[in-house]
Amino acid sequence: MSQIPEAVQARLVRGPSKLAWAILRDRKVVEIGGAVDAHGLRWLQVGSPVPTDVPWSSVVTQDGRGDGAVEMRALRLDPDVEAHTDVLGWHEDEVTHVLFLDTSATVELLDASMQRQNTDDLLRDRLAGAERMRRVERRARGEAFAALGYELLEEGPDGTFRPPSEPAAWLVSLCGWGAGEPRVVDPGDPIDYLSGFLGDAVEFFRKARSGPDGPEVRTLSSGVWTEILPESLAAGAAKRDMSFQAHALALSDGRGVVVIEHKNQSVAEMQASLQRQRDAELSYEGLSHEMQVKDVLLHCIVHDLRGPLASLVGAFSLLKKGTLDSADAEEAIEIGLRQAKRQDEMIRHVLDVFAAEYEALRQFDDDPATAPDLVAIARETAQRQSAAFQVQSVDLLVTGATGRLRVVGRADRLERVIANLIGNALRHAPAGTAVEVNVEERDAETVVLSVLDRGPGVPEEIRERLFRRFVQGGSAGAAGLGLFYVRMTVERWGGTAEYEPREGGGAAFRVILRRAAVSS
Amino acid sequence: MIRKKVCLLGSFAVGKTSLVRRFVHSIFSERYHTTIGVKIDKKLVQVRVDDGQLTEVTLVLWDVQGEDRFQSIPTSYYRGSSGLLLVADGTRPQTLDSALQIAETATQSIGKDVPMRLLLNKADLVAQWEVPAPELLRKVGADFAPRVTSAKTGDGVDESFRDLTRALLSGDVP
Repeated sequence: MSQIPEAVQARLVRGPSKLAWAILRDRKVVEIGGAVDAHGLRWLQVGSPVPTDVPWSSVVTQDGRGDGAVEMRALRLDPDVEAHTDVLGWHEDEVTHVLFLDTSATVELLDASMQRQNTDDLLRDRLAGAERMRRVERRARGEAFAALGYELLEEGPDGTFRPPSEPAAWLVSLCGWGAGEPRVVDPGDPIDYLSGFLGDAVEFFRKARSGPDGPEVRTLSSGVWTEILPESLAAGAAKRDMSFQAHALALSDGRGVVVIEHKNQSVAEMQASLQRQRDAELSYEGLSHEMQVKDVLLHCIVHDLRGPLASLVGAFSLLKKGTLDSADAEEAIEIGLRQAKRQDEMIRHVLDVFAAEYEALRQFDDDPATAPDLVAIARETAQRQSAAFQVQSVDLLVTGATGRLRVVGRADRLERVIANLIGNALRHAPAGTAVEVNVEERDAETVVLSVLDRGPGVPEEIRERLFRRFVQGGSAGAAGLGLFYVRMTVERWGGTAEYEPREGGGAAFRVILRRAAVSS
Repeated sequence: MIRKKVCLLGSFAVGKTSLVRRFVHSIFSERYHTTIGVKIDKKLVQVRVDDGQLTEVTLVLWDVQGEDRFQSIPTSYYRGSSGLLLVADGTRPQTLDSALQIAETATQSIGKDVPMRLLLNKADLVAQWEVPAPELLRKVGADFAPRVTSAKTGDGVDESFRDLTRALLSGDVP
């Protein structure tokens, strides 16, 4: 045998067994040897031509490549022989050398390898199919939950949460996902409610997986929370409250999912129910408080009424004895009369207050043609009080507007309001000073009536409560209802009552009333 | 962007929700709506801190349900709070005690001192206040930097939120 080309030698080194060989000239066998039977080559005899239809005939006819080799791999040369043969040929001068190498073992290995690869592919395909199925299932599950008004977030291996299917617009808005952003929620940020709860859920899932209780579904629920989301989630213009509750489910297969429930309907029902309870509680609190105040008020009224009554009883007792001279008798009658008037005034105050409390809210006149004229009523009221001022040597001045100023209210009640303020000023005004009643237009819509005195003013500690029921400024003979009546009455007409210390000393009470023309 | 969580705490019907609505949306409704759970709203606030620099903060306002025998506050609500706004109703002095009590629970739950402010709300109804404001403010003490507010008129509302925001940034705790 001639020099074997390197390529063929390399092939031989790899150690195939059952080598057969042939030397051909002009396609006829000139020499043959080796394991001819193993390759099913018994038919190949010296002197016989090589048929053109054998699978390796191309090896034989490859002329002109003396320095190289032609190779055919894993040929089945004889159907009856279980052998795979690699055929190697090279040409040298006019001779063709052919080697037959048994590669059955290699083929078996290859087959096994192929088979394994096929199995792997199959397995991979199946896994991919299963994953696809799982995705489909997840999507279907997500869509099913969405149809029921729930959204799902699934815990991923990286500890984040993702929706298994396209999330509802409200979940997108809730999670703050912008367009094209990954739909991922990082758990644990307590500033955001959902993220904070997902942090709790991660911990809950971890405990559930490592817990001794076995594979049962367990849940952890959040509280209810409400967020202000765009009403039209697409347009994002208006906003509205949307309420949610989340439930973490530790599934029996170790997975963790969080179901988010859109709770507007049930929150509204809970709210309505709780609201009723609390409204009732607030009413009860208010009524209890009112009862307490009324008890105190009643006690104080009785106490105040007893004062004049004691004087009356004293005066009558002295008169009954008949021991008084005419001057003393006159004085006793005067005292009795004064105390009777005082008591009458107190009773009137009390009745006014109670009457005003139960008075219908819209009992006032706001017709610009017939509504009470504040200027006229202030003057008339002041006129009626002038005698009392003379007795105490206090001047009473009416200043300000002179024309008509019609205001929302009722003439008789307005007179009582002004009388209370003037009477209050008189009680505190020192002799020799003046009380001023001033009426002015404040603006196009309101008129202000001020009653100003030069008394000690209202102590700071009671200013805030001044217009409340039964707050007394420390003066004798006041039941503490006059200013309460003033405030309550004018507020029902849409007005207000105010107090401030008067510049230069004294008190300045103001009542601001709506002009009838404006209100109509 | 700096984000800070602030919890509004207090008894029911003291005006927590109204204060948030006034501060965030500049609106007020006379009607009382009880809060279920917690209601979360946000507002971007600009404040000047100690160095005079203008700083932007997103306040995440947790308007927490009023506590009473029907509803209790889960302690998890307080987690991550940078500050607390305690709210009491001037017309119901007992709500002041409740607010102070809730503040104690919240502080324990948070595990550290955080800036707190106390709001005596419903100043528009001051004529109905059982106890005068100065007396209530004295009772609260300076630690809570109490303020009188009215969600109805807006008096003191913006200032209170901004004051707390400044305290959050400067770490000013009682």
